[in-house]
Amino acid sequence: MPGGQAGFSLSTWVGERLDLAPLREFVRHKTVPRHRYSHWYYLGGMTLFLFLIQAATGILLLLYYQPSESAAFESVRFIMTQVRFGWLIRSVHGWCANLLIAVAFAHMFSTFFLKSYRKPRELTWLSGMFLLLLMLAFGFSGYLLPWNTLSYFATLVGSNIAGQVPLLGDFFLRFLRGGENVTGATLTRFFGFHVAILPAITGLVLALHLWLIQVHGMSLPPSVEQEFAERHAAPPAIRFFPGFLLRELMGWYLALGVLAGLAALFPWELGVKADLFASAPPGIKPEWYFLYMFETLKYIPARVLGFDGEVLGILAFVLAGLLWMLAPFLDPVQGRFTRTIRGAGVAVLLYIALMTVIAYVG
Amino acid sequence: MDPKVAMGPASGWRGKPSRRQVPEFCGRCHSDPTFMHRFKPTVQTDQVAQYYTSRHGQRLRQGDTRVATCINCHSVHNIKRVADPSAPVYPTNVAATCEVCHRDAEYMAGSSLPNLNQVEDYRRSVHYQALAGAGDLAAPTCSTCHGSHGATPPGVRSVTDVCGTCHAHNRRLFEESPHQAAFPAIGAPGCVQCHSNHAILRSSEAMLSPGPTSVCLACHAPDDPGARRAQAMTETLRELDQRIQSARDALERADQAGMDVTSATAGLTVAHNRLVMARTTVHSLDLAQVTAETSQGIAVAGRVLQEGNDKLAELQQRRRGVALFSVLVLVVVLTLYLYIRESSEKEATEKIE
Repeated sequence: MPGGQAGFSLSTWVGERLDLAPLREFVRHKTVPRHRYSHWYYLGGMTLFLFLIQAATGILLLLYYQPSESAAFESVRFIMTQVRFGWLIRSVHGWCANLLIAVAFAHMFSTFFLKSYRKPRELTWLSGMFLLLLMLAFGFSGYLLPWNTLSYFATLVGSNIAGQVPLLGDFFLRFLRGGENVTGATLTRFFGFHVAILPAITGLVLALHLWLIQVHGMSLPPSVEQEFAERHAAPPAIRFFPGFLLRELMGWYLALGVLAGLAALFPWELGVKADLFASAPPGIKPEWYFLYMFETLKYIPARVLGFDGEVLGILAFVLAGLLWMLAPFLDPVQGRFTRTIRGAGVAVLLYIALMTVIAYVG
Repeated sequence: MDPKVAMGPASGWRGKPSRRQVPEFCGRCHSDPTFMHRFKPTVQTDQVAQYYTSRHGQRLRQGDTRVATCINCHSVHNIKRVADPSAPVYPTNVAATCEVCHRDAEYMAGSSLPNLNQVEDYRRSVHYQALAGAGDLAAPTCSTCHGSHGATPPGVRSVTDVCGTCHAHNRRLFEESPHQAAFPAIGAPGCVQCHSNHAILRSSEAMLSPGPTSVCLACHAPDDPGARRAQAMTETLRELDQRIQSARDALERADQAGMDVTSATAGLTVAHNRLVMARTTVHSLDLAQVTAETSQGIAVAGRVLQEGNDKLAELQQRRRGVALFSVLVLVVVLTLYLYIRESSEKEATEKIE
């Protein structure tokens, strides 16, 4: 045939229908600063990667899981014992949840101490904090789904604490539990939160968070900014694609190896099916990411200045969380509160670590 | 009011009864169905009649006022319900109540009992362990076998009836065995011959196997057919026990490694039930019956052991898979690292705009 028909090219076919040139240019020119703190930049991508693993393994589990009081535990046992590689998927999902929250906390603290929340990235910080809360909500709702003894009593204790909030506590309690007590209705409700409502909200907030990062680029820590400003130079940078992405890929593969190892060597336990009439096992406590709050509440006296001690404790945590979220507005530029804010951050980190250790050792 | 009038017979006052009068004193109410059924329609009202069938009641009528009467077991004024855990007649307290007299050599002087070790022996028994240790109120205490009000020591021919009240299957097998006729002929007191009466210890194959713990050798010569049959029973029971133990060990190893062994553990229970049945069937003295039970148990234990070994094999397979995957991951990571290092020299240093 004259001129010959060119071979089929997928990119050409797509390019004739979608203008991807701006996207290609953006990716080609996107860079990541390189300095003594730049290894902290990898935590964000790692958090995203672990979240995607959670989504993928969660979808696979959804094929077999049955969210009812009579079948939940048995369906998880079926996944663990009868479904090919079900044990692997379930154990990866369990371990990855903990790793995801740990890395999310690390990412949050690193952006805090590197002051990445300053103008123009306040919205990025706020959306990130909201994502952290969503991850904790995922952890709390997902913990009940196996419907074993630990799940049941951890949810009972956790939702009881939510019920202590003044004025709205009773509403929160009933909203969470779907009634007065933790029952099959609670399980169904938590399942709905875990697989539909929370993923939908997370998708939107995550899209916003990632878009804001692309818009504003990577933040430079104040000390690095000042250093290069004095030199009248810009810090070196590497291209996001392929340099930074390949480095991220290394971390992701290592994370995958760690997850597989944990899943095979320390499989997530099935436990004993929840008995609503049994008493709580001694020493029941929530997962590690709620433990510092749980342990703190144990040390608060029953009455403080005439007020209920537990209620005061919960309000204190809410206030502390709000102040933390408002960090960009409390420390907008290098100013008189900078050292105070940094000191508070160190104190919070040490407090969380100390209370978590005490909860396990005590 | 004049005390002489208030405490006179005309006003109904009866004063303090003598020990001889105690049963009738209590029986005024407790033997009157019309009176007692006002308080509890189902309550028994034959306690006094039963009491006088007992050795205690018989000796009291003969003038021995040292024997137990109502007040010895139920107290005088602070009488508590039988179901009250602090009552002297609550099941876990009965042995201690009987022991007050039956362990006192001076008090029991002149009695026809062979010794005063009954309560001490009972406290070494599996029955006492079940009652006081495990809190199983269905486990027998003194009154369960001897009766409470009509306390009579079981005679030779009544022993199996008492034990057989709970151990019905053992009784049926014993009665169908050659021992049913042979034991009375030699004056052997039924179940007590092998298991004792008060110090009933946990049974095991050691009671069958030749040696110092064998109960068979009390009557049988070591090489006679009876002893050889006991030996054969011992061997098959021990084989089943060992198979169950092997299966249990395999399941424990798999469980500790995180494998789910729930369904296999259910099979282990079935095997253990066959062992219990086999041990019970020993009372038939029929090796074929015992072997029938142990064969079933051995088959089940074998399947459970295989399941446990399969779980352990699967665990090893998973670990090999993880090891292989880890190697692949390291290879990929190393490849990426080398590629990055090689291309890092070509990465342009760009100023941030």
